[in-house]
Parts: sequence; structure tokens; C-alpha cells
Amino acid sequence: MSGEADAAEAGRRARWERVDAVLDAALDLGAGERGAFLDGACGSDAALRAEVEQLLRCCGEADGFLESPASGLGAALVAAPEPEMRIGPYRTLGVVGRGGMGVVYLAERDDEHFRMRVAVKVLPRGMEGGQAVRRFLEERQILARLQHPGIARLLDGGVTEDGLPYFVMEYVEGTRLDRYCDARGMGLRERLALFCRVCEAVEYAHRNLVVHRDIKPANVLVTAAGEVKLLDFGIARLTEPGPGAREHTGTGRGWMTPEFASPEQVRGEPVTTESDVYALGVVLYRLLAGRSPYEPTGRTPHEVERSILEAEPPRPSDTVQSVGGTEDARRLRRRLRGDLDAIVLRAMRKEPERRYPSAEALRQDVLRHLDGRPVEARAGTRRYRAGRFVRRHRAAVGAAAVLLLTLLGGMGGTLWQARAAAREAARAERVQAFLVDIFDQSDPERVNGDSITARQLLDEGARRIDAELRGEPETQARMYLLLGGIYRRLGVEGRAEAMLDRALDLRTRLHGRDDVRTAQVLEQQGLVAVEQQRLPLAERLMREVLAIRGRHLAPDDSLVADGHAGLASALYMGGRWDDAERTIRAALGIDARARHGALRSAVHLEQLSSILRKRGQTDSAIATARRALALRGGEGGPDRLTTRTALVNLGRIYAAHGDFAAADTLFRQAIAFDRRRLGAESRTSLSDQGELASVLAQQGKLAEAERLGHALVASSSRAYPATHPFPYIARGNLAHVLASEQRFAQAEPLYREAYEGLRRAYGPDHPDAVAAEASLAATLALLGRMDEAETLFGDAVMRIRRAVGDDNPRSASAMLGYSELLLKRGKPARALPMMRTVAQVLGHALAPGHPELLRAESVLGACLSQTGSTREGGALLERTYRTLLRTRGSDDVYTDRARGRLTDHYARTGRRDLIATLAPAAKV
Amino acid sequence: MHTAAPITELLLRGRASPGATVEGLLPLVYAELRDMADRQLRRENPGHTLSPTALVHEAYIRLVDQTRVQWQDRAHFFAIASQAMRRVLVDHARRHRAARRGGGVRPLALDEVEIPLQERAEVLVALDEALHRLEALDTRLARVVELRFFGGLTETEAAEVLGVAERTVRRDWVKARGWLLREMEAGQ
Repeated sequence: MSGEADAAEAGRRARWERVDAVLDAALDLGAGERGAFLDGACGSDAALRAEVEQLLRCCGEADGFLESPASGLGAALVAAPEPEMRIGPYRTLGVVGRGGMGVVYLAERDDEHFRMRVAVKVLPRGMEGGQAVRRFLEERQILARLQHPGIARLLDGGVTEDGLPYFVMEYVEGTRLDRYCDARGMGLRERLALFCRVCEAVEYAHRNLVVHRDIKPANVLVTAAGEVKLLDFGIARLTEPGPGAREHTGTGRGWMTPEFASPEQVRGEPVTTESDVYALGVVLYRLLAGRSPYEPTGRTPHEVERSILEAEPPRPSDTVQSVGGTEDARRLRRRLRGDLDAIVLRAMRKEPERRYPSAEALRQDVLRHLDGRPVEARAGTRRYRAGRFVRRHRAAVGAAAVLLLTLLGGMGGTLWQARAAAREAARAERVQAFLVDIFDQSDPERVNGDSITARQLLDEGARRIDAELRGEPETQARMYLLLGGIYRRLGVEGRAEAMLDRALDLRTRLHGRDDVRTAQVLEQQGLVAVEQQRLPLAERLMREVLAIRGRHLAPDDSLVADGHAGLASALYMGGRWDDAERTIRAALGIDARARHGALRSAVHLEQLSSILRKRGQTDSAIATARRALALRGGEGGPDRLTTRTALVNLGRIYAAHGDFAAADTLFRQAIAFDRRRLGAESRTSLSDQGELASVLAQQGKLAEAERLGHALVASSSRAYPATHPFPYIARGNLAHVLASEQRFAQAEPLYREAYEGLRRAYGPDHPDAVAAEASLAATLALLGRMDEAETLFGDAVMRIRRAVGDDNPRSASAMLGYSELLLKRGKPARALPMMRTVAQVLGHALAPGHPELLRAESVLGACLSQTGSTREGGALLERTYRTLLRTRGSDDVYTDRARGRLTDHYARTGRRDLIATLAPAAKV
Repeated sequence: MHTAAPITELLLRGRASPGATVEGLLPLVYAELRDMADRQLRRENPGHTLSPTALVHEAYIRLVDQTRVQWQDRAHFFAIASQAMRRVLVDHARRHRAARRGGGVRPLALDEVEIPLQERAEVLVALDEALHRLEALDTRLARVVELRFFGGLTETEAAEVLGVAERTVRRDWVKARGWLLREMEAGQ
């Protein structure tokens, strides 16, 4: 509003105040007295008097006016059929639906050339604020890009003359999913098949980062041709008031029909793809059992909401009603019991992270059931309860767990190096096949059909190089180099070293040291050194390779790029991630300029992705890995993946996305692949088993993770020398699983071995060694060994801050754990400066209501309160406690701890009277 | 935290930040009221009578977990529900009003059964617009109209919602109606 308009408005208000005062007084008087009163009150202001008189008259006449509520007037309007309207270029033909978010019209676009029938949805008044419209227009474009046969397309959108947003969708003539199934008397298998189609459409949208957030049978239509169409994709989000436009997962229930809302939606928490998985579970429930788990009949919405939050849904087999005829209820019950019960309930779990991680994973499990294979859902059932217990006590494990997750990543280093080494995997495999052929023909007695191993071939080949290639030094050198590389890939490092030494010797004599052919041998030696964790040697060799190639080759030669990549892997393994990133980016720069082929770029991108992950830049890491995968030929699903590298890489991407079930499957395939090709105790296989163990732990399958963890500790100790980090990483990971089960006494010695071993293998400042140190410290604290814990924690925090800087989630986690310990030990002044940093870092990294952030703020509040800033600290403690109480409930561990700190604050500031106002569980 | 949480949650949060609560609640209550009105008129009550009083009170019982709220929250809810009811009715009216006729409309006899739809729509829209102007001048007067006329609240309830004496509501009601009557006549 302009200043002028403001002034005019203020003038009108001032005027009204005068009129109002006089009017008020006059109304108190009888009609006969008013004339004399107005004479005095208005004086010479004739306009004032005229207006008051006019209003007095109207007040007198207004007796019947608005006397009976808006009912009489409104009822007929509400009940009347909707009139024909023009909305943008569309003419409405009638109302096809009314939902929470507005009226849907069937409409037609009159055009000279064609007539098209569409559905037009007009949002109701109340949503028309400028921001909502802008967001609507923004997101309309994202939604318009969703093109899938199972999704009704968004065609157009705009704002009506009245300023109401509307959008235009493909008009689908069809029947609601559940009614369609019932009307046709469909059996279970047909229902499940249709449901899988729904999952496919949802998965497609999720991959495009669009969450539906209002999936229900009314939004799933089946056409006469039997095609499934989802309506209103992503549209619920457009109708929500408030900010958050740029996130892909907003918050809130919006217009969600309570019956289908997930617990997090009921609580008003962020909505994610898992919320859609939940709603799919409810839809499936309804298709199978013929009714909803939280039947709304006769109950108010808030009663339904309460059940969603608190009540376990009954098993579909317990509530099944006859679904539309042919299936007899008892038989149906038998068929639902077991797999299908488990699938539905898994999709509907209260905790998003315990559901299927994706619509695709849900679909896969349904397909498993249809194929008669064992379903995922049942595998997790028993562990689920134990897992719930652990999660309820998560904060107790908290400090340890946060750090341990980063330690789990340590396994990735070994794996990554295997992948870096497999840069020539495809070529090497072709060579291997070639060798099989040669040896097969030349000496059929020695090879034993299918059971021949790569190892046998190599040993045979090595023998023949000596015997038969005498006098051909360059060919010998080439064979030694080739075999050395293959031995290296198989993890037979001793043999690899011997072969490469011979090759180096031959080539140095033939060509000299400063030669690109000699550099090839040096590069292989460098990679062996990386694997043996002889990192200074590895770095020296890689730098020499790069220097030689720099002198003799064009700057953009592919071998120069490989030289950078080799150096990057040495730096990466040494924990020097800044340098590693810069170096691998140099390789990628060459790839981009010289176009050396997609595969090479893919390998380098994968390296970059690993480095970014280590640096805590998870989003960029995932994006980079996806680009790499696209270059490798896209993620066509596991069926099209043939090499182990691709399996593992894809698995790690899924794991990074939190899709642990999918990662689980892929790692198992990789392990099977390893077993066939390399043997179960090959280092590659151990590395893959380590990945699987991490994923099992993250899925809460702790018993299985523990079994595998023990096996890995044993086998890695056999396969690796005591100076190699792998056996210690295996110990750290096993300790993490034990700590997750609160078996701290058993976890402690393993952590200690991990910490000491990694410290020896890497040096004390390596991030993985530091993570192990901090984990050990946190565990000691939980065991009550406070002095030891404090010393170690202090050392770990110092090292991690030095290694990665303060502004890094890893540092923040460590500092938070350490500060809690210091606070417990009565040293708030030492914790305070760290906590200020932590609150700032986490404040940037996490959403405002995130429990970990609230935990940090509460600890900061306690530090402040105990160091003289009583008011500031108290306010922070109160705010965080109230927020946790509201969002996580009274029994939650985060809440409980915050309450403990607040109680303590009240006690120390002499406000014992306030302690009683806290929830009953308060402890002093 | 973001706004569009369930109604009880929002009400409780509203004690801290009333503005955000209105923004979050209004669309939810609007949808509920509209659906309830729809149901009452289309299915359950072919006689086409609609009682906003019952609607707003029924919405409160349906939507709010009464074990968790206090009387201030209830008052807050009624205020929002009245506002939502106003929007529900005016939205219907706008859709029925084919074209804006230049001048004002006949303001009286709002309850006459025979008034054509067209005219009902005109009246409601004109009233809504006048009420907007009154709001700019004197917010409390406009609120009283919203609560009494659209929300169907009694004087006592309206006084509770606004936190003023019943006598004040009674006087405001007289003045507001007089003001609106003059405004609508002037436009005629």
C-alpha cells in the first residue's frame, strides 16, 4: 500500500473514531434527547452530525437485518447445482467431485480445432495468498514433467478471475480402485497385480522427487481398459499454507484424509516418500481386507488420528470381510495370514524408517509373495520388536551411535579401493577369458572344466612366462604386468608384487625409468601400495607416474587423467580428502575436455562421490554417484547389472538413500558373484560382506549383523596382515552392532582393538581412527568409566576438529557427545564454547525441529545456565523441552533428557516449585 | 515448525503464535465445514435448511480433542470457524453470481424463502465486501458480525471469544448492523 493510501486509511479511521464516540453516546439516550445532545456534541461540524444521524436511523431500522444467522441465505446456495462457469479457457460442464482441497469440474476447452475434456480443480478461498500462488506456479512445472502411464497428467494451471489457483488435469473416466475390484469380484492375485501398478506409478514420481502425500482409493482410478491412473500427484502440497516451497518434502497433513494419513502426517512432521509408502499400505489393507485399519465410521477425525498415532492396526486377516463375492471369507483369511499380513503391516509401521524404504521395495515384496518366494516383511518381524526397544532407548546409545555411523563408512574405503583397482575390470575379464582359452587348448590335462579358478590360470601363466618367453623381454614384461595386475585384483598381493618387480626390472632396462611404459608398472605398484596401506610409498609412486606422463604425453591424455585418479586414491586412503578431491577433479576436467569415454568418467565420478561422502557432503555425493551410474548405462535395475562393481556401487547408492532393503539385495548378489569368481574369503568378498553387515545393522537386523560381524572379524584377521586396517574396521563395526543392542561391556574391548589397530595402521589423526577413539570414549562413559572416557573424548575431539574443521557434522557430533560428558562431570565452562559451535553447525545442517538439534540446544542451555547466563539458559532449556514434549511425547528419551536438564536448572535456581509443573516422570 | 498440522495440535501451538495458527487452521476448518454443509444439505437434509450454529459447534466436537484444550482454545477455534463459515458461504455465492451488476443490492428481507439464488448470491457477496470495508475501519465490529451472523454464536459466546463484556457485544452488534445497512443501501 502506498503512503498516500495509508494516510487516507488512517484519516478514515480517525474520522470513524469520532463518529463512533458520538454515536455511542447518542445510542444511550432516548430518541427525544438525541437532538439536543447532537447540537452540543457536533457543534458546527455539520458533516459529522449528518453522518451520525444517518447511522442512528439505520441502527433503528436494522432490527431484522442479519438477525437470523447466515443459514437461510446460504443453504439454498450450498444445495444448488453448480452453475456453468468459465475458468481460463475452459468451460465447466458439471461437478465431478468435491474434496478437501476444492471443487473438481469436468470442463471442456473450446478451441477452433479440437474439443478436449479435462478435469479442472479450483482451490478454495483461503489459499489465495501471494505466496501460495507463487509456489503453485513454481511447482506446477515440476508436476507437469511427470509423465507416466499410471499418472494422470497435469496439463495446465493458472489463477481464476477471482484470484483462485486452479489446475487442469487429464480427465480420467474410471472407477475407484477398491470399487473396481469389488465390482468385478476380483480375486487376490488380480488385486495384488493392480496394486503393483499403483506402486510403479508412485515409485516413478518418487524418483522424480515428487511425493503424492494423499494416496487413497479415491485418488486411484481404474479405466475401462484396466489401466491404473493416479490422480492429484503432488497436488496436496500445493494447497498447504506456509513456507517451505523449495524443499521437496514439505511438512504437514494438509488436506490429508485422516483415515489414510501416516503418523508423521498426523503429527504435522515432514512428509517424505515413506509417508506415501504408508498410505499404499493402507490402500493395500483395504483391497485385501475390504475395510480400513482405522475405520472412521462413527468416529470423529481426532479419534481416528489418535488411533493412527497410538493403536497397532489389526492384521488384515483378523478383520477381513468378504471382498466382493467369490472369495469365501475363511479361505481368504487363511491366504492373508502370514505373508500378506506382514507386507501390509510393514508398509504401515509407525516409524517411517521401519517401513519399506520405497514403493518399489513394497512392490518387490508383493511380487515375491506372488512368486511364492519368501517375503522380506516376515524376515524382519521378530527383530522389529527388539528394534523398537532399542529405538526407544536410542539416546542412551546416542553418543556412540552417531559416531559409529561414520566409522561404518570406513569399510567403504577398502571397497572403494577395490573399485578403483577394478578400473580396468572389463578389460581384465576379457583377458582372463582369453587366458582360459589359451590354457585350455594348450594343456587340457591341467584344467578341470568349470572348476578352474582364476588363481590356477595365473599360476600356470606365470610359470609359462618364465619357461616359454625367454628372449622376448618386452612380451615378458607385458605378461608380468598383466598378471601382476590380475593378482592384485584378486588380493594376492605377494604374487602381485613379485610379478610387478620383474616387469619393472625388465622395462627399466629396456626403456629407462622415465618412460610411459615403465610408468604403467609403477602405477600398478602404486595401487598395490594403496591396498597394503603403505600410503607414503603409494603417494610417491603415483606422483612419479604423473610426472612421467606429464613430461611425455599431451596434457589431456587419458593416461594423465588416470595418473591423477591413482594419486587421488592414495590421498583418499590417507584421509587427505581436500587434496584427494582437488586431484580427482583434475582427472574429471581432462575427461570433460578430451572425451575419453563414459566408463572412465564414471570411474572417476565414483571416486569423487566417495570423497564427497567422507567430507560429509552426502547430497553431492549421491548426485555424483548417480551421474556415474547414468554413464555406466543407467540403473536399469539389478537384472541388467552384470559386474560386481556395478552391483556394489548401486548398493551403496541405495544405502546412502536409506533404501537398505534394496542395498541388502544388491550386496548379497555381489557376494554371490565374489564367491563364484574369487572365493568366499577373497578380500573383495570380505569387503562386500562388510557392506552387507553395515546395511543389516542399519535395517535393525542386529542378530544377523552380529553373526556376520563375528565371521568378518575372524576371516579378515586371517586374510590381512596385522598392519592392515580392515580387520580393525571389522571389529569397530561389530562393536557398533553390540552397542546398538546396549551390550556395552562386550563392545568396549572391540572398540579398543579397533581404535588401537586403526591408529597403528593409519596414524592417530586419520578420521577413521579418530571415529573409533570417540566411539570407545562414548562407550566408556556409558560404562561409567568417566576419567578414561573424558581423556579419550577430549583427544578425539581435538583431532577430529583439526582434521575436518569445526564446520562439519562429524566434528559437531563428537563435540556434542563430549560436551554432554563434560556437563555430567560438572565442567560446563569447558563445554560452553564447543556447544555454541555445535548449535550453530547443526542449526545450518538440520531442520528446526530435528531432535538432534534440539538435543544440542538443550545441552547448550544447560551450559549457559550453569555458567552464569541463567536466564538465557533457562529460556533455551524451556523452549527445547516444550518442543520435544510436543513433538516426541513425554516418554521419549530426548524429551526425558531435556526434562532432566530443565529440572536440574530449576533446582539450582531455587525454583523447586516449578519442577512439579513438569511431567510426572521428572527426576531430580 | 510448519503449520498444517492437525487441528488440536495447531490450537495448542496457537497459544504461542496466534497468527501462524490462523493460517494453518483456516483451510482445514474451511474444508471440514464445507463438507459438513454439503453433507447436511445434499444427503441428510433435503429440506435445505442449514444451521451454522450447529455446524460450528459440531465441527468443534468432531475436530478438536477436548481433553487437551482449554477455554481459550475453544474461543480461538470458534473465531476461526466463523471466519471459515463466512468464506464457505461467500465462495458459494461468488460462484453463483454470474456477472457483477453495477450498483448495490437490496439489503433487506434476507430470510425470505422466495429470493432467487441469483439475488441471494449478490447479497452475500455485497455483504462480504461491505464487511471488508468495516474491518478496515473497526475490526471488532466486523468480528462481531462474523461471529454472530456467520458463526451463529450467541452474544455470550461472542463476548467470550472477543474477551469483552456481553454488553459491549450487544452495542457493537447494533452499530455494525446500522453501518452495514447504510453501506449496502448507499450502494444500491
